Amino acid sequence: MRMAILDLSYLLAQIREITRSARRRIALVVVVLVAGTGCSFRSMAIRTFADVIAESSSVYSSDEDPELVRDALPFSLKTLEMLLESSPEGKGLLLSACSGFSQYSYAFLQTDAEITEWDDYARAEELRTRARKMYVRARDYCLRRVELDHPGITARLQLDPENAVTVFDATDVDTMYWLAGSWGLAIASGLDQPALVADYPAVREVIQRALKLDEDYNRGALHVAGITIESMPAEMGSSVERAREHFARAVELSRGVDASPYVTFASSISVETQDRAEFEELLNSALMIDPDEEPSLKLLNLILQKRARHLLGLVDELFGEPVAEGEFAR
Amino acid sequence: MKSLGAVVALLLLLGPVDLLAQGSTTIRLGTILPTNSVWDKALKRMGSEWRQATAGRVNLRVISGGVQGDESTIIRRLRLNNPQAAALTQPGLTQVSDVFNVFGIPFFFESDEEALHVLKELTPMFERALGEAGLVLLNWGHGGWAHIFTADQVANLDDLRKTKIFTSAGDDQTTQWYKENGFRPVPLAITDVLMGLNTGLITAYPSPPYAALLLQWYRQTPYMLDIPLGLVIGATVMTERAWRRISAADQTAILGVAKTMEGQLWADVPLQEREAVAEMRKRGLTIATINLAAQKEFRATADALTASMRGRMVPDEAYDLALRARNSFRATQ
Repeated sequence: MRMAILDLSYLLAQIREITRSARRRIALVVVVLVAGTGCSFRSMAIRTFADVIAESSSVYSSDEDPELVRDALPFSLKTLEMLLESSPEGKGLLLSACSGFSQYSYAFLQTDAEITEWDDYARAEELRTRARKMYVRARDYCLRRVELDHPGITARLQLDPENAVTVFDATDVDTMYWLAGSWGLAIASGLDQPALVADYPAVREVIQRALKLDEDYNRGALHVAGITIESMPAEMGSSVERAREHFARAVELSRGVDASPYVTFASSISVETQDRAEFEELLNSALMIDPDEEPSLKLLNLILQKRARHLLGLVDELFGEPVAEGEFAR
Repeated sequence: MKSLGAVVALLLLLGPVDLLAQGSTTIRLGTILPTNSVWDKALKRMGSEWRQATAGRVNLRVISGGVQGDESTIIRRLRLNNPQAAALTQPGLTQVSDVFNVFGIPFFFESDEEALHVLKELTPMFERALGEAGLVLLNWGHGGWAHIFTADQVANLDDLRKTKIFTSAGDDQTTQWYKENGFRPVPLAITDVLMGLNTGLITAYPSPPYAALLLQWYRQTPYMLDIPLGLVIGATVMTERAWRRISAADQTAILGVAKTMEGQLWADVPLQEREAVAEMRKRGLTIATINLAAQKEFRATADALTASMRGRMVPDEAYDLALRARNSFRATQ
């Protein structure tokens, strides 16, 4: 299962809810770090430091150099965890940690694992294992976030996901998106782990519920997730037709400037249906998107275009010559 | 310039020979097994080790997840030598030769050790069957033990007869055999199983626990019979055309790696099965246990029933060899 939506502007953006003036905040951080006393001061310092990081989010998403972001993000993520130690129930912090770790893992671990796989399998395995663990870490932050509003929801999602998701409302959609994303990606990278595989219905139900609550969320992000859900084996009740509907709607909502519906559909449904022409057309469409057209999607599109080029290089591996029924029959 | 011309001529002459000796070959392997599953990872690890063991002369590209089509298609493609290798599961192997139906006899085997013993004893026969189809055996795979999952609790064969049990559409022999023995088989396409379970069209199906978990079918069938129906074997095979292009030394090297993978799978898959059962139990699955006396009766009845498969679904020679090997193994226990 792939979740190709990345929105790095989202990273830490939730922390903005606790922001005010940057200059005063930095002064406060300095004062409190020097003084090192007082619970309220400490709390204010955490909030303000978080905000300083938050203000840099667009600096990531609009960056033209993914390698620079790869090196810079871990510091922000560890800082978030540091802040969470002091403020373990910070709702914005929890969601930011969930989305941030998911995105880092997808952009810089899973994508690299896929690209490395056929040249250096041991390295790819190492990256994939790191990716899986990071998705699980991300998922656990999202679960901590939803537990704050819906105590006991984790167990209910595992035991009875269809009914569990009915407690979510429109205010939960952000968290639902990242919860399903991190969880789904963890499962997809760990199909040899029954404890992960078992929770797939929770992922599917969360996405479907979120689509009902906020269909056009984040320029069609939930529809891209819907493509992935519908590309699971038909034995699980998935449908290529529904995947096509999600794709069309995702392209419509993103006005064609987001590469994720194209890359997700091509790498799942086009491969599954062995439609080579469609595969090449969609990936070329993704490559034709000008990353400068939508600055908030610049980094996402650059990373997806790297993946699209890699996939196009595999076209002969993924699409064999058609074999007619009865040909070479014994 | 004459000497240069001679050198060029010599190089041209030597070139192809040199390439044959030192050039590399890439083997494409197709399988329906899911990407990132325990099998996919084992195959890719094997490929990585082939490359090391042959100093880069033999490379393996694993194309999993059914990307190259279902098993029937992969088997047809093998005849075109593209892909040149495949990891086939039990149903695919029976399409290559009906001797593999030995592993489709219900309740015939009791344990990994017993099944492995029979597999080893019958390997020369299986290799001959694969050879007739132009295939070379590299190793045996372990697909887990199929168990019967049911909507209602089952304690004996009579209970099982009352269920509406899924059989593969097109497998008329199995369907007919079930009918003749008092069962209620419902032939369906595998993609319709979930619909069949949701509508009550079927109330039972055989599946390894991992597959029942992965496909989430167990959520419609909260009982799993603890007597396993049978071991789902698999095999990694290569076309003879591709095999002949590999030097004898490299053949030995890659077979050694393939055997290591086999040992790893026969350890990892049973572990995965136990984990799958544990996870399903946490989510409501009940294991329908049958006491030892009832188990003996169950197996004796099943043995009497499945004897009719000899010569009909399972070739005489294969059936007799398997029965002899199994019984001789049991005698040593």
